Amino acid sequence: MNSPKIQPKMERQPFDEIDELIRWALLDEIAGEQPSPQVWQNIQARLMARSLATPSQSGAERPWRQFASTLQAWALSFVAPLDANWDPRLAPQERSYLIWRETLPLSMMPMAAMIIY
Amino acid sequence: MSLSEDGRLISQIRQGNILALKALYEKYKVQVYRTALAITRDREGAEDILQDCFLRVYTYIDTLDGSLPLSPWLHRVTVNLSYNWVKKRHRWLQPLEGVIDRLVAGPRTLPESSLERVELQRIVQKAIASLSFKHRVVIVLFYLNGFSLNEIAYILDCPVGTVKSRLHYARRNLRRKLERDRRLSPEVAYEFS
Repeated sequence: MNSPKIQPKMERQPFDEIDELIRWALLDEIAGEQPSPQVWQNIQARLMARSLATPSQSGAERPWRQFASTLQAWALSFVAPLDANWDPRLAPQERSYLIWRETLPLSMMPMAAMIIY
Repeated sequence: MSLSEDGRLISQIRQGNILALKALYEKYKVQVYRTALAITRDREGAEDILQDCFLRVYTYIDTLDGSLPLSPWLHRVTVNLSYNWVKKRHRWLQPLEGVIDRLVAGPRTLPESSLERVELQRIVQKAIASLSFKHRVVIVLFYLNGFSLNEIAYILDCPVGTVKSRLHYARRNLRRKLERDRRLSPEVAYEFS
């Protein structure tokens, strides 16, 4: 395969008439050929279908969102026992509320510590 | 310049930026399409291959190295997809009718030298089309895309020696076919070189 007969011939005569003919025929065969705009539209449609088939949250951002929800619930726990009138925008969303309810005893600990001291 | 531009686009695609994928597509679409067309000799097939090629770019974007040239990787995918296409469709020897028709359109209006050019072109194209898949791919990558032997070795995932060997035998086969057709006489070769 790696015969020494092959390489020197290629190096010595890289552009003889057969090379010119091949290049010329190939270039002319595909000259002016362009893909149709439909190709990109198909790619876009396939990517859209893919993104709809997969969940919106990636695995990497899920723990962070959980942490943020817990943090929000923990912060609200300082206000809730005081029966404060918070801004409606701070009202717990259903999911956050459930987390808050589950972690209420734990989140009350800072309040308890503050009262003791 | 283009490498860093590709690298920037690749990192944007990783963040889910479809416009960056479109920019990459616009940059390489003609190159990939023409390579696929030269191998498959079928416009619809070449478009399917182009589409699948860029879907793979998106799928494997995390594995791409933005500091390396993207073109050899794209052609590696293109050649693999072309191989699958040819294997599936069994259309290897069918002529690219549209292109041939365009080339020979209105022959009576052409001067004699142009007629001869078209005829010679047709014969060379026919000879290239009759090569085996592996020989044809090497010919397309070397003569049409201008890739180096090392780049072709990467694209085909084989040693450089194998590429040299395939190129040598492909050229020899072509020369024989053309000589048999008495079209590679010194006069004709001189006229078109």
